[in-house]
Amino acid sequence: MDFQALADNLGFDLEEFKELVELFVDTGTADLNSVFSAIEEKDADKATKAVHSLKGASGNLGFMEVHQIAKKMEIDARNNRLEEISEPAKLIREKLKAISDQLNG
Amino acid sequence: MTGKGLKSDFPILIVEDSPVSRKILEKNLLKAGYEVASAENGLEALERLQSRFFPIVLSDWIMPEMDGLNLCRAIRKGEFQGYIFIVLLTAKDSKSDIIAGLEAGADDYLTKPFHSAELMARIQTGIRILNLEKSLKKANEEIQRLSKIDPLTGCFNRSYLNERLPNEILRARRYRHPLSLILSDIDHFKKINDAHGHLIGDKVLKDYANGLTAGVRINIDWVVRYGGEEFIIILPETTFDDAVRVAERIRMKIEKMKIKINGDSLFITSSFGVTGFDTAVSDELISPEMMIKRADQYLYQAKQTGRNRVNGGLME
Repeated sequence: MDFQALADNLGFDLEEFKELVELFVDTGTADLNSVFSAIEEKDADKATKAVHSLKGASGNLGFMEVHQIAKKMEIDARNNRLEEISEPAKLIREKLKAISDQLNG
Repeated sequence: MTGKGLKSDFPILIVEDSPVSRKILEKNLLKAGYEVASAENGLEALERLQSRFFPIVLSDWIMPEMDGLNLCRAIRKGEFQGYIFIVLLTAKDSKSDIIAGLEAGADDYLTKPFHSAELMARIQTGIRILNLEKSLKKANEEIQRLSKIDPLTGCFNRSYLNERLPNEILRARRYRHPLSLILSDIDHFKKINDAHGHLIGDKVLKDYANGLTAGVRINIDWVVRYGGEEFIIILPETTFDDAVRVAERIRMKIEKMKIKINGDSLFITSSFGVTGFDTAVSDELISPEMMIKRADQYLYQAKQTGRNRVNGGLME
């Protein structure tokens, strides 16, 4: 992922962007944990909120892959198809890890 | 920036629950030179708006506690010192969502993920509208002010007296406070006009009015140009005896006042009719018309008994 290009798109310098990405990794991880527990608790409302938050933050930063996955998950969660969102949630976890690795690499 | 007003005149309140989105908005707006504050949901935003006014609110739609739609409605229902321009940020982009947002009171909307140039453009639109509102308000206040003021002397005019004196009397009666009224005019004003012309006559009126205004309490007593060279001073919370003392003090000041005209000095004198009421005076004896009529009788007496005098008596 080209952080510099993403930073340019937002009109930030690289350091500022990294600061935002760090915040995204933190809150995204928390959202994701929330999604997993919501699946277990069969709480569609909770899942929808967490995925919505993931979708918004990733979209704003330009992480479009995460954004697209979250967008689909939100529709599934809203329609109470929690079994559909487990796999994509794992996929997002991998992507968050990759972003985090790149940040600290 | 173009247009009137500085960016710092338009602090922006960001309402967004997502920390990442909030940070992006904050950074964007700070960079552009705006002052920003943030709230995490609608309720917190309302609390902030209570303690400080923000003319621009940038709000997310979906938030815990109070969402963007309800925040719009609450802001439109509330009373604030000026118009609040609301931009809704939303991932919802269906026509019906947008309509719901606008109907709830949003002025504009921005679909997420937003583009920073578009955000700035929407805010500029807001500032344009807020500036229009500001100048409209200013013009209205000026019209309001002018409608009460006599243009020559800057004193209140007669229609303002008609509007305010009845209330002033009612209030004094209700709280059992005294109230006094002084009617005053310049002695032989017609002679001054005839001898020196109307321009000098106007200057004399202005200086005389300033002398009256300087002799009473600012923001409590008020001075009205009743007509021609006749002025009325209303003195709330003032007993008749005190009002007589005020009139006497003003009379002496006017008598000594040098009115400068074309390098020369002119002196004038003035006469005063004073009346007033306290709790001992019964209601049916008191009305704006009766008070003015009574003061006029005392003013007439002062004229008859040599001018440059104060005459008066309680309402009875």
